[in-house]
Amino acid sequence: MTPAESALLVVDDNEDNRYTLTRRLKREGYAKVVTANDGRQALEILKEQQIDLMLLDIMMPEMDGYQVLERIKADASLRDIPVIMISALEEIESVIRCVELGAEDYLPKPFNPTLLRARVGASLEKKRLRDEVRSSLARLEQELEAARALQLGMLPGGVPAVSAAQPFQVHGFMDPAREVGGDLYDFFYAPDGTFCFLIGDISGKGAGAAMFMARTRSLARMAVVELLPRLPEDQRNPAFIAEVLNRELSQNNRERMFVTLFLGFVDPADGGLRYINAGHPLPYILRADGRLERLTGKPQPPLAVRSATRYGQHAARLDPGDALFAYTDGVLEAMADGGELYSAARLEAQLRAAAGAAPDALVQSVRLDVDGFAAGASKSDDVTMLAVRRHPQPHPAAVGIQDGPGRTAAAAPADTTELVLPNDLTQLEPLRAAMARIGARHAIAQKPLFDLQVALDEMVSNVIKYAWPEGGSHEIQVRITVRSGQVEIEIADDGKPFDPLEARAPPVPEPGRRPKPGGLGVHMLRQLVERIDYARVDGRNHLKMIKTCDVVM
Amino acid sequence: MGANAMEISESKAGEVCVLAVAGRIDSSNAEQLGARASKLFAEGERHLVIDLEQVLYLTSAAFRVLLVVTDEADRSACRFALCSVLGQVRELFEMGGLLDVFTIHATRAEALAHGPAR
Repeated sequence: MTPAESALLVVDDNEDNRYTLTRRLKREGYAKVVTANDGRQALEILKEQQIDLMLLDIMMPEMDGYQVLERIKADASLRDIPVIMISALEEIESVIRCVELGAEDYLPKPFNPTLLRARVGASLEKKRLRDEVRSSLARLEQELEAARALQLGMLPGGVPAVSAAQPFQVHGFMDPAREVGGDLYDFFYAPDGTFCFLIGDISGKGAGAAMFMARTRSLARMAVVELLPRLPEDQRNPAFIAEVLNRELSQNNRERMFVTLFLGFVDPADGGLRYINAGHPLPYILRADGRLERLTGKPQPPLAVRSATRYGQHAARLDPGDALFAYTDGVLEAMADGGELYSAARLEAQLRAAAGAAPDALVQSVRLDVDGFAAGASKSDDVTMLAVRRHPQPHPAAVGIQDGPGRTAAAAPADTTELVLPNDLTQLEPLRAAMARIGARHAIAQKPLFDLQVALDEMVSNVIKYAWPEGGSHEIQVRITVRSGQVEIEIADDGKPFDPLEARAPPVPEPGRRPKPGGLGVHMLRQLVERIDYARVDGRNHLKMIKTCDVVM
Repeated sequence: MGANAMEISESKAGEVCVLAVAGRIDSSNAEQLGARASKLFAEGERHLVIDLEQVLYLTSAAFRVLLVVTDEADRSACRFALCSVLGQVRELFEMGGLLDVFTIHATRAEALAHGPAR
């Protein structure tokens, strides 16, 4: 603010002093100089006008300079206006009291022009700088608040409702050390029904780490949801995803940020867990019977350390009622006032004490314990926890919405899926995928599901091979209906009449001769499903198979 | 030394420059270590060893700085290694999956025996 723009207030009961000061200040270029005869008038002016600096006489009748200063310093809107006390040299004691109360400086009478210029200039400059710092801080705070809101929005908002096809209870918790954090966690069901979850820790804290967190989280979701289903079977695993993420995050990374990551895929049908550990503290498994175990596997480098890192996969299993507890090292390193760390020992004790708890209760109990331990001390690192539990009931019906939006599994008498396929042996994948989804949705056990897949594959392949000897492109209709206690598959086509049931059980093949196709298929079918019916209706073959097995509706 | 203090002592053994670090390396001071190493490379040092024997603790900020120093060394065709990664510090490297990422010598003597860049 230039001298011309600053507004100054001169408070002195002596007219000559007011006049002299005003004249000198104007000569220095201060165009806006207002005067007051006494303390009361000064306070009125301060309330009405924007004043950037006040020159205040100490000795005044009724209200002296000290009292005016007291009033100003008690008022939040006036507190920051710099005050220079005007005094006679004998009044140095009063001046000291005023400076202790918050006056910036003092100016002795008679007024020396050089000192006047210097002290007024210095006080105004200091005020200008303070104002700038304050507004910068306010702006930064606003930006960080916005960033924090965005970051919290990136965490999973709700939890999917528990059902037979989605039997996992989950609870996540994150407490950043600063406004934005460098930890991340996520969980979701992949398109094929697999439950995916991850937890990680970006090197560092604050805005830079938060940005890297956002990038990692988005890439991970995208990779699992979009990329994974398009991969061949042998690449549909956490190790492959970790390698993809690693290569991508290693790009454009001069700052050498890196992220530890624990990534797990859990099969809803049998609780089988496949996981990779990129430098992250290994999670615990709290078994339903109270045993506490730690997952194993030599930690490999965090993501983005080395773009060529190959990740090795490990396996474990979550039986009904088992819970997995994952965390970032902020939990272990939470520090109490005396410098002691929370440590793994305390975490393990707390987990054991919480055996059998649902994920939200589990996370809460650890959180309370950590908070109690570190009470008072300032936060040193982001604290994040994620608990996943396979529901204790083997086939949970719709247990209800845990929190946030979620689907409830409606119980239906029959669940029907229909597909139309071209008569092309290379295009059977959608059929296999559909059967897999149905299997997951109805918690069909591994062996019956396998049998169903084989039976389906065999029958549809037969139709493709034999129904149209003349060739050409045709369609095959498949309908899969799940009812209580059974799965029914119907296959319809408009090819030549072909009753697979007429094929006899094949003779034992002579050595060196391969068994006839078709015959063997039907023989196998009878081992896999309980009933097979065939009918020719309106020029179409209709084949129906029924398999008896446990299903959850 | 305060709770968060780090001390770096520099010494030269033939062609090899050794930075011995003591104390705790975390986000408040890791950059200092990085800046020190940068300065040495800029001054023409071709072989740097960082000795971690007296380090009590390091955080991910420290690992990040060590990775940056590794990059710089590569760019300047200099040799860079760590030595004396022991006890709790070694555990931190191990748990973070980072033992295989750096060149680590068991002792300073071993690190010095590996000679400067050709």
